[in-house]
Amino acid sequence: MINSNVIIQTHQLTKQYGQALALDHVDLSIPKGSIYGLVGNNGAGKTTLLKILLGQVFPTSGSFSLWEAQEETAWRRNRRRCGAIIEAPGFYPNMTAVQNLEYYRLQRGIPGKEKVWEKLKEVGLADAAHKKFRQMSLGMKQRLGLALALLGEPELLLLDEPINGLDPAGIIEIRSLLQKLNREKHITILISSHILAELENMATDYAFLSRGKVIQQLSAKRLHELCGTYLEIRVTEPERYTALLEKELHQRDYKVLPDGTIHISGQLEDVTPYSKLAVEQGIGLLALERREMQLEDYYMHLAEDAERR
Amino acid sequence: MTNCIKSEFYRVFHTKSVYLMTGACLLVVLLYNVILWCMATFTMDFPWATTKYAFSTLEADMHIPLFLSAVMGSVVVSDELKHRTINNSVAFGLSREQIYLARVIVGMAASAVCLLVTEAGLIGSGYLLLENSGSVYTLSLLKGTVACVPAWIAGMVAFISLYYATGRESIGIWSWILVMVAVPAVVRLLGMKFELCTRLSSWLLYTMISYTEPGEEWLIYSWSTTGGFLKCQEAGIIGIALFIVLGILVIRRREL
Repeated sequence: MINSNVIIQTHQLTKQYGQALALDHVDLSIPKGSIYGLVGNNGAGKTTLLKILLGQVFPTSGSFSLWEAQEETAWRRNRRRCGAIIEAPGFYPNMTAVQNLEYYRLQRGIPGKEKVWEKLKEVGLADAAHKKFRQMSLGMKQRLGLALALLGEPELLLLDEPINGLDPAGIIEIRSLLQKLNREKHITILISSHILAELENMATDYAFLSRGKVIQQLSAKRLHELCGTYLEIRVTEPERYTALLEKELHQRDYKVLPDGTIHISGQLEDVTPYSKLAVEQGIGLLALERREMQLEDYYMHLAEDAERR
Repeated sequence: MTNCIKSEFYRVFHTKSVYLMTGACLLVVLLYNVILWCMATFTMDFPWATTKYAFSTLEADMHIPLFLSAVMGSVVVSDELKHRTINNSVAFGLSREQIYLARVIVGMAASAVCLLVTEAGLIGSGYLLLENSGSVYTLSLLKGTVACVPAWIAGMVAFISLYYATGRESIGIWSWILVMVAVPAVVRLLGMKFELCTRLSSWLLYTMISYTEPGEEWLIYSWSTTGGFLKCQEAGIIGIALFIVLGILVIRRREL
């Protein structure tokens, strides 16, 4: 049963290249109207996932739906409602920006030549319209890729590292554009980026990938709760301390790192009970510090956990 | 499909490659006739400045356009796997078969333009500069051209298919030489020993259009007889069909 509020749903999606698993039984749901951030290191499987959704590579097993479509002909029909940038944007190097877009406009049967200029202006590339693709900077190429993705007035954007090569001003500009498109035109955006701070400012939902596996899916709201303040405690007897944490303070939202450091999440306005617990039970308190968890840290912890498992 | 063909026309005719190729072919044939004319004008008793000689030279070298057909195939695909332009088309939901067939159709149109311009240049400048040997040689050239057109198209389709099969232009070129030239040459050699190879060789495109036999007055080509002419056309059409099937099978399975 497909939920009408879900645009993309993958079920046990797997892709194997030789012996290497690029995607390992991935289950994902991308809600309509969201800006969905795909977070993962290089080789985590982000690009492979997007390529499968766009028909560029074929899954080894598993299935996916794109809107209601669940087979090739219907996928192809629905891909016309998508815009995409996967890896570095691909264009004909000896054609200008405007010629490249005109080529794809004709191919897609989009009426109105003015559409090409409209999109070039939208991404801030009108001044370089007659520049050949091979003469463009990486940032310009990225903008042209975005112009192509937007050419067909898509309902869904699939963007793989779209801010790669952009300068700081360009990053802010493109981020604002994507947020505007999501807000005003209700375009759903599936975006992957290794610049996690960029997603932090934009995404409404997240999926964390590591070695082809989805290690966590959660909303931005939940992530902010988890990424908020945490307490870092180092004691001489971590095992005894954690047992006491559960028994005396009823605190179960904690994690013990391999070096014995304890991270306690949640509402931690008052840290006194935690120090008092160690002192009263005769456990040596080596350090107690309130810390702020960034998205990067959160992902790193998740990935390390997944690695250990 | 129509949109796909339209966009391919736009691309192919908005880049220099087709114009450069057509211009280069035209220049070669014009230069050839100009040299013949100069030789006849500035030297004594030069017997080759005739339309018979000029037109027959091309007719005896019909394998040269076969090589050019591979170049045209390369112009049409424009190394799109390397530039990842095909990825955009697939991501938009175009079927791979559509993409492939659009390239073949536009390649055929571009080849037709190149061929028409070049032959018009050869025949026009021949009549203008050289001694007219009679329409029989012009008609013979035109007949040879019509006989070889399917083989040339097959050559172009073969390159496009081999490019998608190998994924790289340089490997595509070598594969094309192997399939279109080396294998027929080897089969022809084996034909000197084995009857089966002789029969097979007579159906291979390169052998069919590149080997001639001396006749009483001039060379005899494989298309000189009605049966030979039809065989050339049949072999070319079979070649086109086989390479299109190969291309579609390959592009369907290709991961981008």
